[in-house]
Amino acid sequence: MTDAAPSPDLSSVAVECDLDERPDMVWRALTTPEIVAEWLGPNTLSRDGDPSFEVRLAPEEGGTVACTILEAIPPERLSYTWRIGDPQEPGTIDSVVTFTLTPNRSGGTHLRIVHHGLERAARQPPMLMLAAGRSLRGLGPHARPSARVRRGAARAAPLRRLPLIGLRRAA
Amino acid sequence: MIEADVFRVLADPTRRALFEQLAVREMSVSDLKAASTISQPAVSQHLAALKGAGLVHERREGRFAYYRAAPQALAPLVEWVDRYRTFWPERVERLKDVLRRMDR
Repeated sequence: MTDAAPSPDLSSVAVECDLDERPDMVWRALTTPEIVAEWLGPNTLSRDGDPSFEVRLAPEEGGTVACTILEAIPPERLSYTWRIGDPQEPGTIDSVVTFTLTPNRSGGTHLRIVHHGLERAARQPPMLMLAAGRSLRGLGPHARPSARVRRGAARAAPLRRLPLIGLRRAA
Repeated sequence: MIEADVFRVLADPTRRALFEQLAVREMSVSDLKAASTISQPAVSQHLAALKGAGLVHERREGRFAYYRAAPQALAPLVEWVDRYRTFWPERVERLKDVLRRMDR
């Protein structure tokens, strides 16, 4: 079972695990539409570099989520916005999901997924946590998604195109 | 459904800073003004947004108004985090299965 790590602050979720497969293989699983459909959900990920896509989750999981790729550095880091709220209503905001892939000692991949709810404000969480009576554990080195991602989030434009074409290795 | 208002309002760093100050103690607009670098009208505007999202309570005393944070209004955030605290580990388990199949 994979557990969510202690949340670095009230408004984010972090999950880490070690996978047997190499980063390039994990990268394929994170970026190939058909494969993403198998583990995340039916999606409209594009192969031609369009940064916008949708993930169709079950209604109880929040329904269709609108996403925009902010950063795609194969096979290291993938980051996209994840819209909270009904796009038809005012006041929706984009949360940000970031997948970080690091080769581990056993030839596999250490995968870290961080989902920030308040991306723009994620720098100073302590008081908010206190206010909600949450523990201060895990505050340490977190809250440092790269400046690139941060700027990307503000602009909601892709910083690097996702090279989806040709990622499928001949089986 | 998620109350995007709370997210939207707190995503602004200035408003978030005001909210954090009001979580420590009750303050008037002039207290808040004295403790920050933004103008009084700006403080009032941010307070209005925080009040609108139910994140701040106002208490009137004569011609003075005092404000404090309403932490219970953070419930949508807590709910959101709880949802994804279940969601991502489940998806990672599925991802592991998919990768195992890709291995073959």
